[in-house]
Amino acid sequence: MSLDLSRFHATFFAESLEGLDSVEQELLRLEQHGHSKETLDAIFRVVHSLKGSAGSLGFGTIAELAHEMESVLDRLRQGTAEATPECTNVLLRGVDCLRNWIFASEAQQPVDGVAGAGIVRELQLLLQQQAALAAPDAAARPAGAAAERSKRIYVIVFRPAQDFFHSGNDPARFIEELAHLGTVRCIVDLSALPDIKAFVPTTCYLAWRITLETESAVGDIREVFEWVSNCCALEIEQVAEPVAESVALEPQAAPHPARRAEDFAAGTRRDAGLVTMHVRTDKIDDLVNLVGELVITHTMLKQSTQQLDAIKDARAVSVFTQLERNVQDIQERVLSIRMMPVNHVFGRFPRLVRDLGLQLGKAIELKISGEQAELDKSVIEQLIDPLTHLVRNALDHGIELPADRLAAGKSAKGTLSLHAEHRGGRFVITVVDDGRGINPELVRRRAVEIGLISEGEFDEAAMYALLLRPGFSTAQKVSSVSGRGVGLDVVSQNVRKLGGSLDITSALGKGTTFTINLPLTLAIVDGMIVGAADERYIIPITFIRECLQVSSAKVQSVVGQGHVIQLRGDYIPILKLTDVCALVDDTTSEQSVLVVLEVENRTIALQVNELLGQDQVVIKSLEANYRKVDYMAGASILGDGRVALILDVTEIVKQHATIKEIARSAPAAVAA
Amino acid sequence: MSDIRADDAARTAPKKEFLTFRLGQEEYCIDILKVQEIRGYDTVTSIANTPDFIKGVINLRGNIVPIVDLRIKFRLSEARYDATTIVIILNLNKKMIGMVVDSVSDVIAVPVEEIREAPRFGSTINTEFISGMATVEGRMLIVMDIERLMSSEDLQLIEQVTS
Repeated sequence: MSLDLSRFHATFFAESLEGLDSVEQELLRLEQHGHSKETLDAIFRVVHSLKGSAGSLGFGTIAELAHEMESVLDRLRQGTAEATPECTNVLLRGVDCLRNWIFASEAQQPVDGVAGAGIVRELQLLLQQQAALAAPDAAARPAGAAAERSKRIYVIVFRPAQDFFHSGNDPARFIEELAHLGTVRCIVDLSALPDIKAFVPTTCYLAWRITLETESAVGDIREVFEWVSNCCALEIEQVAEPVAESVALEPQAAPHPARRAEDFAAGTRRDAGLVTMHVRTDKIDDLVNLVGELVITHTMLKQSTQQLDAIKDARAVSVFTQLERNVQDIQERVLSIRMMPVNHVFGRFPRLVRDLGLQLGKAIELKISGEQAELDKSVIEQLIDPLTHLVRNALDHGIELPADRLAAGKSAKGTLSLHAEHRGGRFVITVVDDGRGINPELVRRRAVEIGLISEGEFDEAAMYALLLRPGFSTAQKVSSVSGRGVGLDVVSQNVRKLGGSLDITSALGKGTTFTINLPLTLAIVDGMIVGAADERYIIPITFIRECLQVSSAKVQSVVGQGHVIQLRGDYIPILKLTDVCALVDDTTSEQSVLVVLEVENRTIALQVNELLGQDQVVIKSLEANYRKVDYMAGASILGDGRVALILDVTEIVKQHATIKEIARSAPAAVAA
Repeated sequence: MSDIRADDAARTAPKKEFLTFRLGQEEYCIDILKVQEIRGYDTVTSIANTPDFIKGVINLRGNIVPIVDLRIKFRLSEARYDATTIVIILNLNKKMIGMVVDSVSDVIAVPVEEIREAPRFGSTINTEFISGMATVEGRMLIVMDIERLMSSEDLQLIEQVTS
């Protein structure tokens, strides 16, 4: 019977990609902080389980490469080889290759075996070098034989201090631990045992002479006793010949290395099962939808039970309060399912910074903080591009070459900090570099040069706005990294699309700070509910600059251009919401309110009949069952269960001219 | 075709179930499998710049669903909205659409062989949207090709059907 394995593929791809990301991070950590057995174990485990699942699901090439990587990693783990930068490089490239293969397999395309073969060869070469280094005395032997590990025999004298038990340790534990490394023979030294009358049961009188036959190095043995190094005497000596005269204390055979690796893998899988679970996002979205409904139903129920008497219907009232709390809890929990630590984006930067730093010849230290802060998954995914851009930008333009830095009296190593935090219901990410900063003079000159501003009109606030203009770059030359001027404006737009904002502050010679301010989730927007005719609409608050009562004195009519309002010296065109939405306007302008909207430095005043309040609303797609509606970004369901449309402010401002035409032609159409 | 009533048990002809509804003077029916539910007409949020027969959108348990008034679309009876106004919620290609009709009658099983090709005249609705006619217990039913109707040029509520 053949088993259909394809249904496991999706899980395998997802898990493997996740695993590879963590391998990448761990490898980089290894490079920064030096040898760490824990880190190596973690890497080894992931690669091992990847190899296992790839093999069993029939991804032979993936399994093969993983196997070679595993061999090298095993060496590193055993301490018989060192993680040289070149070794890390090859392993990182292996990770890239595996990732590409997984993407290819996911897209059901053939994998590029040539790239893999190269890496496999390099890995094998590395193994040989490692082997040669590990056993210099065996250099005379042919290279193939050198790769085979030689068994060594150690005599270990383990003499615990008399108060050994006081620290809660058990000598047998350590001997058992040794048995994991190889075959153990053990002789107990009873010579220190006193007369039964003088015997204190909490004192350790024993010592052991242990013969260990193992492939491991002395370091591994020392590591076993690391924990008790300060309360025992330990002598380790390597002998050439097996020692015959010993009594087997524990005839427990050393576990087969392969089986140990299996145990390792099984361990991680169990842990992973407890910690995370893969759930399809549409299932979660359904749940979010249903909970939204639950909240609305609850609100409606609340409105219809308002006349309940607090004393007569005490029970109903208390049950109702309970229900309210439960509903809130459920909503909170369900929304939190979509939340992911921002580390999913930050995690990719150590690699990027390392590679780019090498490429640009700059020494850069990357500091990441707040990476555990959580953000909606869809926001996180859409943050990858803008953030990558800012990081590249900072590396290329911000941080100077080591020589320039030294000349400027700074440390040769530049610092780039990524920080994330929750700040008052918003999510704030800062990208800070200590580079050269933005030169206002350069920006001014460039802006004048391409005719964005005239000589004389320039201040700091205007400078930052200029930087966000399309096609604006002060970079002296275009490099592969950045400088094409396609940049900050795109970043700013992307962030805006997520309902956030991008701010820049910079000090010449000291560095630049980019601040991205985001809503916690894409599914919810802070909205101003406004009324026009009998309908209600929602305006996302991020676009609202201010709201003001229309005083007809300030409104002026411009022939053929409609109305404008004079506001602090600026003339802002007025657009009626009733025109945008083709509604019949039955109010006079004196009664209405102007909502001043600002999008990419363009301002218009939207005239609405009334402001009905401010609320967090859940965004729903109109396209799901209907289609894209002009000037609407979506819809939402208000507290009373009715649908209100969310205005697409960007589009409204952009199409302002077109709307005016519609407004003019609409009465004509009605008349006809 | 699981509807096996006692008097039908002997007959083995394949049957389809249809929901019948009234539009003006005529009785139409649609495949019951395309119907998700039937509900009363509730407040609708209107959408700018749409034809008058698209009434707007409603909230159906968290989904935003457009509402089409077929009475206006086919210029039939006067479109009044009160407690008895009926909306049939359709589920076509995973899209939900609500359509307002005069009234919903019942669900009947029609032997497939009873469905005849529609003549080229005789109904208010363009024959393009009619897939056949059937006579059941003396009632003449017009089988509506609801997918074709909803994907038609002036509605465009679902993707064009390729048949």
